[in-house]
Amino acid sequence: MILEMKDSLRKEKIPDGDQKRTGPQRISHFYFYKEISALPSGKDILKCIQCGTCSATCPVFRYNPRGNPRKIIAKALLGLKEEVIHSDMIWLCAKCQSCIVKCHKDVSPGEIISAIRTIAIREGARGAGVRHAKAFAFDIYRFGKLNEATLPLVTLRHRIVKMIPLALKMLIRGKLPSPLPKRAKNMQQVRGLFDRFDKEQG
Amino acid sequence: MKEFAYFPGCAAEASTQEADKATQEVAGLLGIRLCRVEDFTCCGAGCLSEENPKLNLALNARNIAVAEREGKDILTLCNTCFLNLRKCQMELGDLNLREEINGELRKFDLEYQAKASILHLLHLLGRMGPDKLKSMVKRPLDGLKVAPFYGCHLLRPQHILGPESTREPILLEELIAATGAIPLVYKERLDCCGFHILLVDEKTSLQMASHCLDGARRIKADLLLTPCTLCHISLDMYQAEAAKWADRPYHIPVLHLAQLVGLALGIHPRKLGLQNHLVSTKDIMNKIGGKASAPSSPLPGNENPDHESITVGAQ
Repeated sequence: MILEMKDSLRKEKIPDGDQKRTGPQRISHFYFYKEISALPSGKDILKCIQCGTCSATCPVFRYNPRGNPRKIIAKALLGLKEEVIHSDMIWLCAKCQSCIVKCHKDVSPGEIISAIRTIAIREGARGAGVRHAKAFAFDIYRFGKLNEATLPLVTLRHRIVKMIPLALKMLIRGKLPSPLPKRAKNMQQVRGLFDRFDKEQG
Repeated sequence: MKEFAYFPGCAAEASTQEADKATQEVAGLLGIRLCRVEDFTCCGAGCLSEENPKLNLALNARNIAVAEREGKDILTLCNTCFLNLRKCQMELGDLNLREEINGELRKFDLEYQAKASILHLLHLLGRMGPDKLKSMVKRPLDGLKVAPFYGCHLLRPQHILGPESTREPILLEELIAATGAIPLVYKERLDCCGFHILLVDEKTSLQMASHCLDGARRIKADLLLTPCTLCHISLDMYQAEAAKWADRPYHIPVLHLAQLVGLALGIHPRKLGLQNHLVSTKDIMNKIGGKASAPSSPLPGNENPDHESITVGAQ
């Protein structure tokens, strides 16, 4: 409630895009929350009261303390943009949707993490998570379908070696995906949509 | 005979092809026609929507529009495809957005009209009714203890998935009971298998999978049953790896929904692709007194008379 009120106060003080803010690096992205709430999936970020229900229900957080949705939102609200988008934290979400159901302020923490991922990709963040997400766009542009054979290669790079025993087992059981997936028909339509909406995003 | 535009999903077309195979066999017996639509693309699996939300929306709108052009509903095998297509439908409830997307789609003589509905195989079997399934069972799976495992994207969030998803789902249990097997109740049945971070953080992902497998082991389940092709990858293909991280051995066969239904309907296990699993399914076959423990099985020819009589009965 209070945070929502503060939002309306903050709105009036947004500086122009060109105007450079002075002060330490850490607060230079004070309006990071604006970037997030501009995306449809991140629109509810300011409703967060930091109660921690999302972290309590998060199955990733149970095993990996770095995957803490409450902390990610806290950092985003503090404007620690660089820290958030270049960390591996945001790529740990397993999209189980538990936090979205449990959040009693309807913040949808999982969706906000999605929005932060969108910004991270746009700002050229690097890492396994980014490569994984980008591989989808690449495959869909080429084939219309996901290429399950090359997805681990793109994401894991040299660490693919440790998948060789599993790949052999899959080969024996006839489960190894073909490196050339089925192609969707009318790919010119798919590419047309890519051209149209990729351009829009710049 | 009901017709569906068949959307198996990328996993069922690559590494879990047995789910596709089993579904086609089962659909044949149940009198459902699955039409392969060559136009369908990947649903984006939540990754494309992170890179470019609007593009993902447009691609899924195109998928639905293609099904609408053929006048059919969409049937998926994959929970993630189900969530993404339903999500697209919900987002296109915004008429301005729908107009913008349709503006692009009209260039290809397509239009999203919100007419087709998206169904998962589980919902389709649920609509048919467990009672009808029960009347068609040829090989009752008596005494088989089955642990149901739903998978996240079939359950949550309700505001996107609609009334079919509830906090206390019971559909899978009903279907298991209809095949004659015993559905088990355990805490982890609604949990996450960790599939979506399998490549990004393998350790955490496998610990999540082992958490679910622990649940099934605790209640001494003969097998896990999942309606999701992606959960199957996590729980079956990576079971040995999960055992390494959890430091305890697992041997829990994981079956696709269509495979269990197919077994009960008397389809030959080989036709259902049970031999393709990384965790051996021979124990199950021995338990139900299957005339076919996979490799030394009788020829498919023996099964054909059975098939025909069931098909006639179904119509």
